[in-house]
Amino acid sequence: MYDTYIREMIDAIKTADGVSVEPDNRLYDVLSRMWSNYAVAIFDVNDVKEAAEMNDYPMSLSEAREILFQIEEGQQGGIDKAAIDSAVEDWFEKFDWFGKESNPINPAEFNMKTCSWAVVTHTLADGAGTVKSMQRAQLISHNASLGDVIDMIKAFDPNPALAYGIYVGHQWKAENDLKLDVQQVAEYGKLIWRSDISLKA
Amino acid sequence: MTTRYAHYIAEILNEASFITEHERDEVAQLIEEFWKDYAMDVWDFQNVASEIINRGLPFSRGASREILAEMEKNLDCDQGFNWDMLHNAINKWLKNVSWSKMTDEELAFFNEESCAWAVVINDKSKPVGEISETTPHRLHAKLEISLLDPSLSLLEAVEFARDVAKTEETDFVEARKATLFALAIDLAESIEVDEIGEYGQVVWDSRDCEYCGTKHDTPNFAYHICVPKE
Repeated sequence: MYDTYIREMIDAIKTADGVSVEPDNRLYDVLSRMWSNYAVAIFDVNDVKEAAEMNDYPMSLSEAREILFQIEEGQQGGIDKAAIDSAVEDWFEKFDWFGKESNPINPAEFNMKTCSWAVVTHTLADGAGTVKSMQRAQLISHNASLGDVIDMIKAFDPNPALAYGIYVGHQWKAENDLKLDVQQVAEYGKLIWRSDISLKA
Repeated sequence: MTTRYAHYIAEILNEASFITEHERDEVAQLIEEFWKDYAMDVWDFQNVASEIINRGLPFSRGASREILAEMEKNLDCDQGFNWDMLHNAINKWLKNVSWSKMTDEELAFFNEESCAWAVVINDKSKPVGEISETTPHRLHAKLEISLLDPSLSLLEAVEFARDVAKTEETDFVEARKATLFALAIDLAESIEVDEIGEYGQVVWDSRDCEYCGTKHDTPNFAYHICVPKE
């Protein structure tokens, strides 16, 4: 294990009440000797963030940690960046964005600036809650969290004939004034939130 | 980091008297907390041993540490570790290891039961003249093979080989020659003597000079030429 991790681990241990680790060097020697029995490759939340960025997926710190935990637990014969990419893609596909099967998500946590957001105005079919058409799409910067985007949508004038959807998953290119090609969003984006469904939950 | 490692580290700190038994769980939790932003891919003795056993090589805890350190040195952050890296690290270790220059103390460390041992002995019952008539090269003289149990350490196997190589009072020009091979345990029972050179790893040879480590290819005690004169 690289020295930097051992030193950081010592700093973490030192924060425990009543734990005396003096002299530092002896603790370093003990840990260093222990880790000399292993070869350790370390991956961190930034690797998950990078993988999410590549695919334009939203990411939160707690989800990134959970993904790393699952990778570590489920590894067979090593971890590499490709395994992380694949785990992130898998996570995105399976994640319960609408909170139907799990607790509602906390949108403010999706703030790792890994994707831009496409907000689409949908026209709903009468009373059925199904989308009749997609009217327009607007690009929201990756600097906003999912929570920020939802707050923005909540501020729109309520209209029972309309629903607002948030799409991700594509490197959106705005034409001008942050307007996006609706067809492109429909074709390449993945809906992760829709006002008429998500706000009810 | 899996809980297992966090508790293991806390246990070690407790044993080294850095923390009390009472503090062990708290420290384990702290360590786990520290590592929650990371995933670790840990390769250990067992990983190396499995490959060493496949190859039928002598193995020690120290060798494992050297091989793992080599793997870590060559770590590519994108690729992580894989079996190819382990193979390469073992090859490098094997290239650098000098069996003939090891002291008995060092030989004794190779005690992980990772291989079988075969001592190949040229037949001392035939004088060299007779062997030369029947075989064109003395190394192809009639050979005997003794298989030794994998539970022996390298030192114990070498001591056995040293004993059988000892020449008694003889008229032979050549001393009796013995070579100790390490080989895969599952091969040992069925291997033919002429296959050993191909599948086995020479770890000791009676012609190896215990002083300079090279093969003099001269009668057994010729290494004395390398002994520093008093």
